[in-house]
Amino acid sequence: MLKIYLDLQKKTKLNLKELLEAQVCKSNKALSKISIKISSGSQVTLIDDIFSFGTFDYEFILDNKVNFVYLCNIFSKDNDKLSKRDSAPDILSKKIKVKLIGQDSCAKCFYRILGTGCENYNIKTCQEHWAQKTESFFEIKGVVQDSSKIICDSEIKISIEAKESIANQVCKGLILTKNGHFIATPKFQVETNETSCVHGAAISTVDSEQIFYCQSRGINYSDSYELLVNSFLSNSIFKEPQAL
Amino acid sequence: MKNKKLSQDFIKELSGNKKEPAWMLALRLKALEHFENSSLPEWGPDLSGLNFQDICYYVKPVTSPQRTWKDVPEEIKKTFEHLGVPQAERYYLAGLGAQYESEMVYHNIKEEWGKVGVIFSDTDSALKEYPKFFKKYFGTVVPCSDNKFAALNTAVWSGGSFIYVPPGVNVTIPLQAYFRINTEKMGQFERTLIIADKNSIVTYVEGCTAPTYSTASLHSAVVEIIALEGARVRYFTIQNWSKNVYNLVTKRAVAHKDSIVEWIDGNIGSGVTMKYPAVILKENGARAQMLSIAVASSAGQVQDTGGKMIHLAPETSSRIISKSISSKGGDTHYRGLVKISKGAEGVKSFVQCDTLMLDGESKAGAYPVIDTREDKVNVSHEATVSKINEDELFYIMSRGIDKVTARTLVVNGFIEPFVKLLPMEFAVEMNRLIELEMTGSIG
Repeated sequence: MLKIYLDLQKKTKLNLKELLEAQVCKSNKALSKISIKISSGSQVTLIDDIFSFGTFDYEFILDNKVNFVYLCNIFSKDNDKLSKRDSAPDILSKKIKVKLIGQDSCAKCFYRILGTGCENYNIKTCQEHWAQKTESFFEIKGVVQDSSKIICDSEIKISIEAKESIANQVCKGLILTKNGHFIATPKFQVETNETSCVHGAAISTVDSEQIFYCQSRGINYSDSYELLVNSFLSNSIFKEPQAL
Repeated sequence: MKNKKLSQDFIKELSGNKKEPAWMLALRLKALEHFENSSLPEWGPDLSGLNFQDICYYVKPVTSPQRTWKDVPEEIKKTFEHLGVPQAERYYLAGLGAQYESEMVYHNIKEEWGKVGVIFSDTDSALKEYPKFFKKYFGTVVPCSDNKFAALNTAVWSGGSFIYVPPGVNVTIPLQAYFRINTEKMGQFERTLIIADKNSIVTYVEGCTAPTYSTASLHSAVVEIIALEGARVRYFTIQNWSKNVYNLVTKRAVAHKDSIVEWIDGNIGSGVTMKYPAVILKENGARAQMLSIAVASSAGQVQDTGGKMIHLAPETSSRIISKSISSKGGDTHYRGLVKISKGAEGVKSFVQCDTLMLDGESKAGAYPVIDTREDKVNVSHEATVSKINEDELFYIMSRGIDKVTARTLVVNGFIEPFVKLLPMEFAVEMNRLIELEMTGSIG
């Protein structure tokens, strides 16, 4: 396991690929599980687009008053979100665990996945609350095209110590083709009543009424379709931002 | 019974005593093989306290089910009178079955419903009287290979209800069965088969109780419902087993074209419950609804409940609403599945599970699965865990209501979507049961 310790008091935006490349050169270890501990008071935004690396287990451990944002975009770099990206493996498995061990820490994680061809995505997330007044907001949005498949296995754990914590988790899927396959398994385990825990999942296709609305404004069908898919991927109910 | 332990000899003797046809004995033996070769579920509550060799698989209370209460043995009659069962039959029901230990002791249907062809009988008698239904439907919805407890039930089943509603008949008042376990270390394995023929309507209510013993008892029922074209079946369960009972049941329905199946499931009692009523929406236009409440109100009590909706056909819809209340160290868990098969266009499904935790010792969990293989669908799931909202309490108390009553009102409001579907007499009973379970945890 590769262990990284981040101590960033100022608001910092990092690219996970660059961070790991530097650490791999330093440590010379094979990567399978990566544990990143973020020290008290840090404010970190981490951008993750390292799919050519293969399959990873990430663990983020948040100390007191950490503000952590994780952005994971799994589609093409050229901003054409409906086209297939280069060099991605057909099966991608990613496991992300965020452990909120410090009081007043907050984690926001956003996934955007576009499955095309025969791609098979297996995304596992875990929000573990171990301290008081911690907050976590996870949002996973997946679009399934062709014969691709997305499995989202998301878990929230709130321990008895994590009083006055808030945990939210949303999983949304858009199936665009007959052979698409989307599985959502949102779970939670709660051990205290002094908490607010919510999860939700919704799977549908592009709403024909919304397409009609766009068309009635003079936008043709395929542009309307793309507009709606792109806006599905771009918007977030947890209001995290620009980098998406 | 000479044989007491679960074995091929026991099953042959049981089937022989019941004078069953050869095909049923063969099915029982096949199920025993499945039971022996399958393992306990690796997920869910701890079942280590359950010793299959220590359970009494068959206790015969009477020779045959009676049609009048005066023919029922005095001691058994007293138990049911104490529970208010004969009274309920007089005032509210179209028919009543009462099972004591392994056999139905009483089964009767009001004359007016018998005349129009409604069959409401104990399953053992029905197997002999209506073999064509059994050959066609028995074990088709829940096959013996489905899970370990369904296999056990198929191997040793005894008692239960059989209902057949002819085409176009609307049974306007409910049919009810009441199940009672009285013996220590007893296993009750009733089998219920409901067939609602085309465009018929039927409501079935099931209630369960048992006295408390220090040793474990097992209730492992199987319920199969077949709702044919245009039929509507509403199945209520108010489960109030004592805390030493393991309640591990398999309930499933098949909904044909334009039919409606509704499970309304209240789990108040038992030490461990594993119950996930399912509906297979097999043909176009079928609809299903599941409303459940689970109350875990003592340390060690686990209510592991949920629902499954399997959409096989286009334009089908389903809704699951699950309400759980944990208090005094109890655990409630929702486990559910919504599966949409390829080709099931236009499916709509909605799942909502809410949990109310009344103290810091209790636990709650939700583990739903949504599996979609079709694009033109609309599926959503939402789950919440919360405590009693202080603002709501303040609002009620500012109207001059004391805190204990205010909290009870909030709890009753939380389960209201479930209670308002119950027939009035059961709704009143349900509210009282919840208040009773909440005693000491509120205020």
